[in-house]
Amino acid sequence: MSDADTNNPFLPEDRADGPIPDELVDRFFDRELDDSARAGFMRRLDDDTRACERVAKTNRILTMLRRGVGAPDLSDSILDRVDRVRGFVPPSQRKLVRFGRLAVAAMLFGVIAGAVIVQRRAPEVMELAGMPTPVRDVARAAADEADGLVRFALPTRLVRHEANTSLDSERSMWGPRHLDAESQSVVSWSWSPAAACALDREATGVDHALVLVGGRVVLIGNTDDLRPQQASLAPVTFRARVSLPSVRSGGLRELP
Amino acid sequence: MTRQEEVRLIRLAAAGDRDAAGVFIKAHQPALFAYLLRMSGRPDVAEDIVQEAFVRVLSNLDRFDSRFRFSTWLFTIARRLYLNACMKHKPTYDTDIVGALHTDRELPEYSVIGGEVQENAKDALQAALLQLSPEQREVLVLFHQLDWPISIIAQHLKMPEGTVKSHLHRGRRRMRELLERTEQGRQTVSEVWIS
Repeated sequence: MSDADTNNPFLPEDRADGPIPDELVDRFFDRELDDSARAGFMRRLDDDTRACERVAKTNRILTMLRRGVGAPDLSDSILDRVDRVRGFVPPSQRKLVRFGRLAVAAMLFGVIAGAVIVQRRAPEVMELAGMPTPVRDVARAAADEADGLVRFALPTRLVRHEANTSLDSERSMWGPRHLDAESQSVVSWSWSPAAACALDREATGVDHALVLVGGRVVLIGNTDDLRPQQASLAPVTFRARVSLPSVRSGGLRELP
Repeated sequence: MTRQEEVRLIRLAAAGDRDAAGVFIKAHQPALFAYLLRMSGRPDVAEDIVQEAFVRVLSNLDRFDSRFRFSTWLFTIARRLYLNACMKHKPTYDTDIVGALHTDRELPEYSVIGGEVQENAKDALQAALLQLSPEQREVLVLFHQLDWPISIIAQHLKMPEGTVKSHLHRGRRRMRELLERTEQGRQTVSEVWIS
């Protein structure tokens, strides 16, 4: 059924002498009937007193509803409140505000354009410095870690010294070692010689201190000469355990 | 007000033009006030919400999306303020039993209007409107008083068009019944006086 048909109240079922269906009345008040359908509807009302009365009453109610209510003029109080919240700007100042906005936009555009040009012509200027971080700075950054660094530096250097001595001849025999040295801060530790050797090769210098700092291994070429190129930070690649047993005598011996 | 004129005024008001904001208020104030008065039945509530809605809208004009109708935005904010006011004044019951005893008064606006509803309802029409469900009343006011199309009302109330129509039909029928009853009551009273 087309729209024209649905709007037509003179379809056979509606043309019957019976009363006008409520649906049709609703569609009339919903403004869904076109002009011809409305005219037909009005004609049918002449024959249906009950529907006519119903439509008249509803129409009267809706007319009353459409009648405007006297609204007070609240514009001044509203504008005053808005003025307090955001502030209205007089026309003369509005030009200044617009000019200011344009100036800020132009400045931003200029800065971005300048940055792009510099980036294209001299990219090195825009690069961030890629300086290596000296171990000294790292050590200073965390007081606890720095304490540990100083405390372990000497004994571990001893360990490395002795380890290097015996490394050439007894490489295959390397395993967990225990050191008793004279220092009060002597450490007992175990390490993997293969990993130590690997680290050894990467670092320069002979006299290394291997220190465990915050879960990382720090290789220091010489504690008196902490040059950045001789120091490196590497993640722990082997298991190491550091403890502080009571100190009695020096020398390396096999752990039980 | 044409759409172009509306957009132009919004731009001016957003830039801080007091006169443009004033034109806006004068153009939309009567309809918004009528809507809120019909919804609440209380001129003081309607006035407060009209003011608050305009202040919010005019303070946030830069957020307005010009693809939509300004009036829809304004009415949405006003409606939210009205519902918030209803919720704020809604009485809380100690027990559900007590609440259940008052089920016939659980409509939020009853709390706002309270016992003053009938006193403040100046005419039978308003009294009848206040006896409709909030949805029926709102749809009736928006469609017949403010001439909003069904599709916009559906969008505004976030309900399908069929539901809007259903509320509209029931609301009209109920209004007719209520006003007929009022009329009969008046006739009865006058008959008693005459006899």
